[in-house]
Amino acid sequence: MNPVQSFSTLSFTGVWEVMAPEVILVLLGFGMLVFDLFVSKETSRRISPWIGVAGLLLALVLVLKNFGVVADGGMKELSNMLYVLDDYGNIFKVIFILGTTFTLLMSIDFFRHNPQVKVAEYSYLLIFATVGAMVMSSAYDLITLFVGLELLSIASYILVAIRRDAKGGEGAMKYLITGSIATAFALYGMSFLYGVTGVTNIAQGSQMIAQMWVEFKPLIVLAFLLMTIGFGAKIALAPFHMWAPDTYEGAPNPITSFLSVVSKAAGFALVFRLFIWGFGPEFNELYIYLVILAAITMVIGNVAALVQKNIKRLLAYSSVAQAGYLLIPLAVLGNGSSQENIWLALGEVTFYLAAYLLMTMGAFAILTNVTRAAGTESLDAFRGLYKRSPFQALAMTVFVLSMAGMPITAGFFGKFYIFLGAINTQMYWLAALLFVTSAIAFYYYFGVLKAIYMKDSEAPVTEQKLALPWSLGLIAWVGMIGTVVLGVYPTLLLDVLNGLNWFGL
Amino acid sequence: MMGNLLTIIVFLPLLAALIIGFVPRDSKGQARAIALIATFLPLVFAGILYAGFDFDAKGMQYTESAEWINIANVYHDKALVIGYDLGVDGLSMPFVLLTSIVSFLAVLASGKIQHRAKEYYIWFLLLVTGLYGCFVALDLFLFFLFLELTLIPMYFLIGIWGGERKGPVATKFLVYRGIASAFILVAFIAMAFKAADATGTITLNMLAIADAFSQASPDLITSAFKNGIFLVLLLAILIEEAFFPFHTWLPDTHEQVPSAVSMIVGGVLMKIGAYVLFRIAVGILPDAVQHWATLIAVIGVINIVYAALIAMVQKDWRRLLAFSAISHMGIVLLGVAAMNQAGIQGGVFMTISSGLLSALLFFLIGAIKERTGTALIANLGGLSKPMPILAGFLLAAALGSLGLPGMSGFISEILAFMGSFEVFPVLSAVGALGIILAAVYLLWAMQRTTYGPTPAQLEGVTDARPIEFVPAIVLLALIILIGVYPQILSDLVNPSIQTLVTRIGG
Repeated sequence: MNPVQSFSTLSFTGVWEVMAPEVILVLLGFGMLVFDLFVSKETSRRISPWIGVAGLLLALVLVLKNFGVVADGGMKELSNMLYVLDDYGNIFKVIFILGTTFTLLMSIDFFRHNPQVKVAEYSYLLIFATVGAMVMSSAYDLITLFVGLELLSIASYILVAIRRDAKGGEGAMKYLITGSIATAFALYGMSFLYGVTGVTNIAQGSQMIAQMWVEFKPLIVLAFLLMTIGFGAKIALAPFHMWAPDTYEGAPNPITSFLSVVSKAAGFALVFRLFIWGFGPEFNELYIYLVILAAITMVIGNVAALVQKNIKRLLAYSSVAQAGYLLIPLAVLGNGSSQENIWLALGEVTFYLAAYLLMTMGAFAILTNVTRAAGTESLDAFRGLYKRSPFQALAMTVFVLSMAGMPITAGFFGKFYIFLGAINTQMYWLAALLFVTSAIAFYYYFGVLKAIYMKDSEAPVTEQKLALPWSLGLIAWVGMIGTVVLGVYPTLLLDVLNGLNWFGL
Repeated sequence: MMGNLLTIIVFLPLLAALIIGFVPRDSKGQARAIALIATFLPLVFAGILYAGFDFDAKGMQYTESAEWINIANVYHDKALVIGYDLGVDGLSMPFVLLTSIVSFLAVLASGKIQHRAKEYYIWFLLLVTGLYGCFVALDLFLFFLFLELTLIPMYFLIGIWGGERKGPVATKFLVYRGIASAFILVAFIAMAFKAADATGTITLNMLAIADAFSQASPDLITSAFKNGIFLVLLLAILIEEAFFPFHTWLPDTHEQVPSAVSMIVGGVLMKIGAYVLFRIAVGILPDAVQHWATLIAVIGVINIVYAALIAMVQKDWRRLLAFSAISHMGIVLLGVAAMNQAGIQGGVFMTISSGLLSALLFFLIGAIKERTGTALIANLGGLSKPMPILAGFLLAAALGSLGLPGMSGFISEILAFMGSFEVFPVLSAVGALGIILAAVYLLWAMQRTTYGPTPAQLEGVTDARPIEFVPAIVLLALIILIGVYPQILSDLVNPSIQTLVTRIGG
C-alpha cells in the first residue's frame, strides 16, 4: 500500500452530500453570531435559543435522511476517507443532536434565572460544540478527529465558565488545564502513530500498523497508551477523571448535562472508531489495558460516589462509573473480535448511550428545579419531594432507578446488554464486576430516593408545592416515558440498531 | 381467561397498585379495599389452579409463552430470544399457594397502618407481584426481573414504615440482596452461554437450559464449570435465604418492619432463596450439588446449631423468631445436600412449613406488640390471663415451630433428617441437636411471655379481635393439615422431585 495519498478535489455538492447536517449547524452558528450584533439584547435573549432548537431539529431531519443515503449506496466519503458518512456516525449524531436540544431546552429556564449570561453567545457555542462532536463521530483521519475534539473541548471550556462566578471559573480552569494536558497526550500518541505509519488516515494507518507491528510494537503500544490517556481523560475514565466532579459542580446545570451526555458520547464515538479500525487485528494484544481501565473506572466511580453529599458531584461520579460500563463493550472486543462481536458491541454502546441520554437529561431537569427552589445543591434539597410534587418525585425515582440499573428501566436493559456482550467474549470476571459495582451503587442512588420519600422525621425544606417550568417538564416527561418504554420493550430500539449498516457494510 | 390465569395472578396486584395511585391521598379505606380485593382474587385463582392441577403430570402446567425481546448477535451470530414464559409444576405450585395465602392475610393484618397508607398498599402490592412472578417465571431473565421487583418495594416498606433504625436497615437489605441478585444474574447468564455451547442456540429458558445441562457431553459442559457456577449460585442463595454468615439482614429487617410486612418477608420473600436452590441449583446443576454436598451439609448444620444458640440469647421476640427461621432453614440445606427423594422432599416441606409458621408467629407477635407496646420478652409475662386466645395461638404456633408431631414442622424435620441420616450420619446427628435447642428457646420464651405473674401495666390489655381470628385460624389450620395429612403437599411435589432426582448422577 502506497502511503502517499492522492487527493480528489472537493466540490460543494460532494461536501453537502456527506456533511449536510454539520454544514447547516455551522452556518447556523455563524448566523446567530451575526444576528446577535444586529438585534436588541432583549430580542436576542428571547429568540436565540429557539433559533438554536430549530436549527438542531433541521439538522436532525438531515441526519435521519442520511440513514437512507447510506442504506442505498454504502459508505459515502469525502476526500479519500478524510470524512465518512455511515450509520455509525449517523446514530451518534442523533444522540448528540437530541442531547443538545434537551440542553438548550433546559437552558431556557437557566437564562431566566441568570440575566448576566449572554444568551446568543451561549447558544452558538453550544451549536459549535455539537458540530465538534459530530465531526468526532464521522472523521476517519487523525487530523480531522483532532479538529473535532478541539472544537468540542474549547467551546465546552467557555460554556463551563459562562456564569462568570467563582465556582464556574474554578470548574472551567480545572477543565481547561486537564483537558489541555489530555489533548497533549492524545496528540503525542498520534504523532508516534504518524511516525511509524507515515499516514494520518485511519484506514491506511491500520494497514501500516499491521505491517509494522512486529518491528515497531513498543512504539505502537506507546502511541495506543498515550491516546488512551488523552481520550480517557476526555470521557472521564478513572484514574483520569479528577476534573469531572469539580467541573460538573461548577458548570451551569444544562452544561453539566451536556458534558455528561454529549461530550462523553462523542468521546466514545471517537475512541470506538479509532481503536476498532485503527488497530484492527492488533487490538487483541492491546485490549487488556482497556479492560483494566474499565474495571478501575467502575470501582473508583462507584466507591467515590458513596460519600458524596452534593447531588451534582454525586452524579459526576455516577457518570464516571457509567463511563466504565460503556467502555466494557470496546474493551472486551479484543478477546473475540469477530464481526458479529463488533455489531454486538456497537449495539450495546448505542443502546446504553440512548438510555443514558434519557435518564441523565431527565434527572438534570428535575435536579435543576429542585435545587434552585431549595437554594442548595445538597441531597437535602430533595427532602420530602414526594409531598411537594408527586410527579417530580416519581420522575426522579424512575431516573435514579434506571441509573442504578433496576429492571423495567432502560438503564437495566442497557447494562444487561453490555453484560451479555462481556460474557460472550468470556470476560466473566469483568461481567461480574459490572453487576457487583452496580449493586454497591444502590447505596448512593437509593440515598436520593431516601431523601425524596423517607426523611420525614426531619422537616422537608419547605411544605410548599413545587411547580415545574414547562421546558423542564417536557424533558422530564420525554425522559421518563422513554426510560420506561425502552426498559419494558427494548426491542423498539434494538430493531433499529439491528437494521443499521454500521460502517456501510 | 383460563389460559392466562398465571398472568392474571401475577399482574392483578400490579394493576391494583396503579389504580391506588389515582385514589385520593386521604381515602385510606379505598386503598385498603382495593388491596384486599387484589390479593383475594389471586388467592381464589390460585385455588382454581390447584383444583385443576394434574397431580400425575411431571412437566409444567398452565404454561404461557410469548416472544418478548430479541437481541441479535449475542452468541456468535445467533440471537437471544427472551420469552415471556410462565408455568407451574409441583414444585412451584406450593409456593404460589403460599404467596396467595400469606399476602392476603398480610393485607388483612395491615389495618393498623395509618401513616401514608395509600403508598403502603402500592408498595405492598408491587412486592406481591414480584413474589408471584418469581415462582411462575420459566425464563431466567423474567425470573430476575421479578426478583429485582421485590427489592424496591421492600426498601420502601422498611424505610418508611420501619422502626427507629429503619434507614440503615433498609439500606442493608438493599445492598445485601442487591449483591445476591448480581451473583444470581452472573450465574444465569454463564449457564445460558454454556448451554449454548452444547446446543448451538442460546436461550434463557430454564427448562431448555436444564435439558442442555443434563444431556450435554462432559467435554462441552465440564464438571469444573458446573461446580464453579454452583458456588456463585450458592453464595447468592446464602444471602437471599439469610444463611450464616450473610444472615444479619434478616433479624434487623424483622425487628424494624411492621408485622404485616414481617409476615410476607418471613412467609414468602425469604423463601425465594430456597426456591432458587430447588429449581435452579438442584434442577440444573444436580451433579454440582452432589459434588459440594458435604460443604452444603456443613453450612446447613452450622446454621441449625449456630442460629439456635443465638436465638436463645435474644431479648426481642422478632429477632428470636428470625434466628429460629434461619435455624430451620438450615435443615433445608441439610436435606437437599443428601440429594435423595426424602431429603429434597423434606427441604420443600420445611420451606413451606417455615413459611406458614413464620407468617403466623410474626402475625401473633405483631398483635401482641400492638397491645402491649413491646416485643421484648423481658417486658412481657403472664399474658395467658389478659389475652388467653392470643397466648393460646402463640403456644400452638411455637409448638408447631419446635416440631410437635401432628404439625407441619414435625413431618418436615422427619423427612429431611431421614434423607440426610442416610448420607451424613454424623452431621445429621449434630444437626438434630437443633430440634432440642428449638424446644429450649421457644418454650423458655413462651414461659416468660405467657406464664408467671402479669405485670401491672399489662393487666387490662384486650384479647384478639374477630378479624384477627382469620389469619390465626387459617394459618394454624394449614399447619395442622400438613402435619396430619402430609399427602396434601407430597402428592403435589413428589412427581417434580422425582424428575429432579432422576437427573442426579446423570
